[in-house]
Amino acid sequence: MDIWQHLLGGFGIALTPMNLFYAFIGVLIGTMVGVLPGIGPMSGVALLIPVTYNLNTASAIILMAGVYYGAMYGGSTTSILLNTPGESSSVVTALDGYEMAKRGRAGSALSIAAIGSFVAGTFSVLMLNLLGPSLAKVAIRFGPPEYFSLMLFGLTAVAGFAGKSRNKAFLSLFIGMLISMIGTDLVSGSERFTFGISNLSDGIDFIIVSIGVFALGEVFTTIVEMNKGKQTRFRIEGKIWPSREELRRSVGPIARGSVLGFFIGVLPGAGATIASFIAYDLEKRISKFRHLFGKGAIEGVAAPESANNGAAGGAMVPLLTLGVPGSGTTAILLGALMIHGITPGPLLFEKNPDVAWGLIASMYIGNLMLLVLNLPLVGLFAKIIDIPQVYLLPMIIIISTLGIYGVSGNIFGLWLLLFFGIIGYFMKRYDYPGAPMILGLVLAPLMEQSLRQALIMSNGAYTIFVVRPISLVLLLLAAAAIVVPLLLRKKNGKFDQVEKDMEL
Amino acid sequence: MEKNSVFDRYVSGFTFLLGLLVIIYSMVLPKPIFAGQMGPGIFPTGIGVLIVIVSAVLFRESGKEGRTGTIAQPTSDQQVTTEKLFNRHLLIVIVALIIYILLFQILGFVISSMAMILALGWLLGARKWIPLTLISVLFPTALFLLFGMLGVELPAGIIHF
Amino acid sequence: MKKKSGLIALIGLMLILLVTACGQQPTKQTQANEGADYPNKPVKIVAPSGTGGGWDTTARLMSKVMGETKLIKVGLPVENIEGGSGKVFLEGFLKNNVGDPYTIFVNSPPILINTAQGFKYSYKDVTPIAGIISEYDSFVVPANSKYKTLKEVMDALKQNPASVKIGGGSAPGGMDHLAFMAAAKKAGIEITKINYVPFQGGGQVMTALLGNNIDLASTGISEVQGQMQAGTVRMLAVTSAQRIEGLDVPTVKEAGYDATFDIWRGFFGAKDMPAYAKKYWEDNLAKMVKTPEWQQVVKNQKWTSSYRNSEEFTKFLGEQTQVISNLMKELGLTK
Repeated sequence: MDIWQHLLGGFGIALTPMNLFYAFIGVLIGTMVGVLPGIGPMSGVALLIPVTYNLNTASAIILMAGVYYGAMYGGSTTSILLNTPGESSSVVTALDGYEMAKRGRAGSALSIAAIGSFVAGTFSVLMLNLLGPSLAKVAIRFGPPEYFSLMLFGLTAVAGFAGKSRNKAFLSLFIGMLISMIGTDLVSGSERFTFGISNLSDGIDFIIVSIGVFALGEVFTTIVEMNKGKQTRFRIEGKIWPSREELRRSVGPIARGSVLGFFIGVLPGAGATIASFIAYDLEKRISKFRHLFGKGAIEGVAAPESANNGAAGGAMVPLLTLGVPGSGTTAILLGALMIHGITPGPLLFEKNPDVAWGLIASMYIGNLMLLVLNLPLVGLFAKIIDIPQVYLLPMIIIISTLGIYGVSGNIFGLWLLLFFGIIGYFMKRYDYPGAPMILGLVLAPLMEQSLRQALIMSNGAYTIFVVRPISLVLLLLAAAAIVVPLLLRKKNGKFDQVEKDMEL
Repeated sequence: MEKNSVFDRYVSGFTFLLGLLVIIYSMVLPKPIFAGQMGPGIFPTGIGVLIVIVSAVLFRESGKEGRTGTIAQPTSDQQVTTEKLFNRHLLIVIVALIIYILLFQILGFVISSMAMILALGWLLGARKWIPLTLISVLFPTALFLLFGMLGVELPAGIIHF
Repeated sequence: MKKKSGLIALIGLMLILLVTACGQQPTKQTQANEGADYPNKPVKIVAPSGTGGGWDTTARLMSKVMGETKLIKVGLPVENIEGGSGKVFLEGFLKNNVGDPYTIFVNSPPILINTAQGFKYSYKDVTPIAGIISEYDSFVVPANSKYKTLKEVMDALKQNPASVKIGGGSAPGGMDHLAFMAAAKKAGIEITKINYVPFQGGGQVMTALLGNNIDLASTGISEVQGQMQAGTVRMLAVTSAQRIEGLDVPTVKEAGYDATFDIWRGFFGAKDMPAYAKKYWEDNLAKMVKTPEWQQVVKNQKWTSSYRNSEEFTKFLGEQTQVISNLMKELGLTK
């Protein structure tokens, strides 16, 4: 039987009324979980596991996968409307998404996010379907040296997130990297920068920093401005849906974001966050509208949202074809399979074809359901920012604290949240960009860990990074990402001047 | 605008010192016990060095800016802000948040959140009691039930459902 | 002016609430009638970690089976309190919940490892109720590896401790690391010279092994079984005392190195937990592990049932403390 026949069989399973129902419940809960900041896809799926105990395996996994990509989908909503990224992978979406919302284009941003997610989600299932096993064999060759080089390349994306001062972006990046050093060091097993505080020994969760810096920082800023009698209530301008022009501008970013996201997602451990940062940076580098980035560019929503959903699909590749988790969330899914008596591994497709193909088929259906579910909600969600600030701000504060406390159950995180909220207020006020801090926070631990793993592997020889071809290519890419723009700027000083004029 | 660059000076001065402290702290971290390992201090030392360098550059940049005022034009939002860094509203919100966090585990999520919405809404100028009360009751209750459905136990505090 | 006074009043109100709430707290916990009707309200099961890990899974599955089999009629909500591999939870627990019969928590070797690394509390500060299951580590090589037996690996390491790259799903001092080092120590290898590459969790280790980035993985049996069935890896040894049912793999002992490593999981109660509550849980856990529902769970999770009642469990914890602290001392990981 070829894959199309299997897929047909899969649809036979996924299209039963019961499984359609579970896919729907899954994406619905996923959207809810995604909208609530703090509960990301990972904890969302983990929380749902007990609910699925009594379902049959195919239904259970369809439900949980629905929660996974539903949460990836929903993550953009609060980023765009409230500047409150629910997961690290939707931090980037907040940059231009929230700016669009402020300019009355929330509906457009939300729709583009939904469309981009749908396209990327569908593209990645299709790729998983067609190329899964062969891709996974390549992806698994990625070892610590390759990850180090990839992370280095990822760091060059910081250029895309600088405001007026490049140095402020760098400072923000390095401080983020420093924050990530707090906690137990994986390679030596000892604690660093914890000063004997047990609460710090797991490190500081990026979600605390991102909700603090973005959401609370924004709330504080708004409060100060309200105090000055400034009315900051936003109004929806024009029609809710994206204009033809906006749609047209989104085509390229969505296509590139989907491809980029998928391939980065396939690499075990690289993940949606890095994909979203790189996709945004890429668009900013090549877009005609680069001067609009950070001021509500539709490309800045389309690219990262497609990338993080593409990555979510990509992460399913190693899980389904090799039985190794490609991300934190797929690791949870793997655990869930075991609870249902399935041994994840390379034989999954042979031994449990109903589960594997049922899941793949349900991913096609689920993505469609999400689009159908989310587009009508756009109008409703977009009205959220019509709620007067006097009610909205306290609600944002409560959702933020709940997001931090809910899953960890630890009050210490709330103090940190407040701390980073105050930091975020100053950063916003004095034009220190927040996104580089999150980038550093997410990348630095992976980067350090893979650097040191690679050095153990090579007995301390740094040549390991250049003798391995993939690693070398990534290092060269990173170098190019730094050098090429510098050269271009020298050659093309005129363009730079134009850019500067437009910024002012 | 003057103020803007003064702030940058303080920040860069502070992060410069922070970077130095990080370097010193990282140097005294234990050496690796096991073969072939890079110790836990090397990477943070590198970060410390980067922070020191970029802080120094930023410090110079902000100095220039303060004199000539040409490099970074403040946005229109910032031109309005001429008062103190922390105005009274912000301070009160922060105090309210501190009390909220303290109350959170004792009174439970629902009641402390109700109090928070009422207090903050009032502070921000909400004078319509009916919607304010409704939101303060319904919103936390709905969230509490929603999280309960997902299996997350929020502190119930003194009320039991 | 009026605006401000309203505000102050509200904050004042919140403060009053805070004070009264603090005052009310103790009365809530006093119990009448020494446990005759225990439990008369839900008992909280704490997993001192985030959702989805081993502790969380054990706690949730226990709660589920207790409910399904109707052994315990009150609700058993699982609460996650994350931080410092259980340290954050224990600090709060020992401060606020002494004598509390309505909270129990799950733990495993980290409670001993934390103590060996200098954490101020140990299992002696809480009430061991029962050990319920064990997982064992396995040593695995890729199917095309030149190593066919554990002895060949150990011999190569004796020649040159850096010649085989060992990967594990934990930091040095974590369980996967200790499991392999316990065996290597018995083989007479200089264990601090071994190239140990730490990864975050079993999934990453298996990925690294399949990509030939490490030569041998030390990781939980459950992580490996799917790969074994597909023939992509070869399991050289397991760290249990006896062979694992359904696995044709020698134990480390059979391979000639007198070492075992048991990743047990069990439940604990508060310091000075009332005797009736301890007995209630001990009895019910003993009943639960015999139910077919629980045995199915054990089978699916590739766990090994290893029920120990409170007394046996406490004694076992004492022995394990010795084993772990000796090993960690040798590795220079103790404080």
